[in-house]
Amino acid sequence: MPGMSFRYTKRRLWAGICLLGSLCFGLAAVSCGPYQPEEPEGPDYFDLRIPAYFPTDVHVPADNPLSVQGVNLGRYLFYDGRVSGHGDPAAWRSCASCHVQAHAFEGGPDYAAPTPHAMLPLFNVAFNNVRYHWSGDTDSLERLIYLALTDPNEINGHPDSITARIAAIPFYNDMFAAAFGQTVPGAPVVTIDRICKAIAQFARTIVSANSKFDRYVRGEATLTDEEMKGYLLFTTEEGADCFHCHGGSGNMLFTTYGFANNGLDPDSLHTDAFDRASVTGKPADKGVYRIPTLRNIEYTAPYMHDGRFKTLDEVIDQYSEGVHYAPNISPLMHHVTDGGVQLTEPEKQALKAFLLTLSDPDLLTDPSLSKPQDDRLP
Amino acid sequence: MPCPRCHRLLRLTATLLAACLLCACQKKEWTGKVTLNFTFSYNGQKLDALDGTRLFAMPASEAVPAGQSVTIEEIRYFISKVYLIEEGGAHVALTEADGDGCHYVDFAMPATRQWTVQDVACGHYVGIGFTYGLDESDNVSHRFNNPPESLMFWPEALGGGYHYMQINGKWLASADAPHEPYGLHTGIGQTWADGRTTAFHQNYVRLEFPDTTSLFLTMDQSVSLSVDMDVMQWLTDPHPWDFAKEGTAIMQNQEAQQILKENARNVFSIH
Repeated sequence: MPGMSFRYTKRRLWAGICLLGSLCFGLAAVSCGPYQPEEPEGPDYFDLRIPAYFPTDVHVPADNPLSVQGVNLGRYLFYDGRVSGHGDPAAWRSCASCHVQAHAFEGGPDYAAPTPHAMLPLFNVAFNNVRYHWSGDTDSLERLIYLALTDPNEINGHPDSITARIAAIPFYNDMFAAAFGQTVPGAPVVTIDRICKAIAQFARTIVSANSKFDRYVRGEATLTDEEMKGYLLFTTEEGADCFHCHGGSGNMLFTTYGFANNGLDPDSLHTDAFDRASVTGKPADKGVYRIPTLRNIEYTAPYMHDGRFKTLDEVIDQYSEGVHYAPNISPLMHHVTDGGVQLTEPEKQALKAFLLTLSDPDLLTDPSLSKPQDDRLP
Repeated sequence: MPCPRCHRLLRLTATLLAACLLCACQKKEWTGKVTLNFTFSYNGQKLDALDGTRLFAMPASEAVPAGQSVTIEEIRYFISKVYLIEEGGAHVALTEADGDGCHYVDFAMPATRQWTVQDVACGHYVGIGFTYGLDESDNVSHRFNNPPESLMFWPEALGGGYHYMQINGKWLASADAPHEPYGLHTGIGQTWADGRTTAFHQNYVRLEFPDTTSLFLTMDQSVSLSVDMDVMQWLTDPHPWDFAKEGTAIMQNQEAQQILKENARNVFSIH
């Protein structure tokens, strides 16, 4: 029948169109990349703001991406003495017991660190692409935190008691579940691995990038003549010759995160058993230590790996006249045969004025980095 | 026969299908890939390791007394605007699709000592050319914000941008002299007057090596070339280097920069 035949032809046409259409969508999907499933429910992505002129390569391990919930949990743990695992409040210690925000997350000038070395800054660690500690004995922030939690000289906890103590606090279970999920039904939601990861997430958000010098580079501030003279000294080989190791406008971290022998002691008097050589076993690494950042140097006394200098003036004097020769001294210590860079008194003052432009007072009070205002925290 | 409306619908779908197929199967270019290997030597002897203890003799000359030697601890440099020379003389730029044509080479980082560029037009290539360092268009401050390139920054007061090269080590005036640190750091030079810069000098060098190779690059194949830096040539040819005269920190010494600029012409070889 003509009507039947037309309907049949029409049906066949529609079938053909549908088939071709499906083929088109299929091909388009293949040519436009893999199918993107909907994002599963879970922690929310934490957008770590990269300051102007900072590295864009942020060192976040693939198995510990930053999340809003993870960073928040890490902040609680950072300030909670119960993370030591001890029952007696007198024995409670947290990261913040030593890493004090008011001192740029160090201990302050009068704090004698019970560790073999003085403290190192705990800001901008997200941009550290090398290793951790003065000796570089630790290759991940998560591992560094584990060591701090369990070291008898630091928080002095035991992994089992730390985990049990935190798991016994009801609100933390919810926070861990929100931050990391319940990966295996019945598995504990609080683990030492997750505790370290959460604290590491928070630590990576401690970013300092609003010093006067930052504002100068961003075109928002001007340096005084003396500060500018100090900056010129800082960045010239015939001046104070600091920049190869300690950066400048082209390396806004003010460290290379490398390691060097800076001629602090005569080679024969070097006795520290925790230098870089203690990790590598190489004689060439004797007296070699991490090059620390000079950001917030005003707030982070005492100075050098052993905290021997209490003031910036002492540090400047050391590099000006106190440098000692060692066979493995850094080749960037160009002025070692003169005992240092030999600055005049006005030059020292100018260099100091420049160094003080690296202070970021916002870091000391940033509410997003301070102890959470929560009655549940001791 | 289908009705005109159905016919139009069918034709539209067929057109869509053809467009999709075209997108999915773009025309294949006739390209291959080229790998540059960056090697180092001293007086023709291959450098396999830099531990800072091995002594390399400096050739004696009128300027340099016999017995002087150097150690080498670090070598890093930029190469840019690299091109291959076709048999007919035409230049074919080597640039990664997402790259900027600048390549950082660091003895201590093996990954940087090999640079592979994809999608290079097939052809017969007989030479190579490149810029040692970075020219005005490439040498722009804050171009590199990530290490290791960012660590090569050259201070604004000295002209800005980046070091072209850093060779760090120690030199010995004689066998019983202490090892004195040196840095052969090249970049933009300056003229100074009364403690201020009055002029800047570009010290990059364009180098060309015609008729040094014969590479047949065929479709989807890869070929490689080695670019060797003979460190001794920096210190000898054509100008003997005198640490005692030029000093050990030369970023503010245009006379020293000029010597190295002229010596650069004999430093590199292609294999």
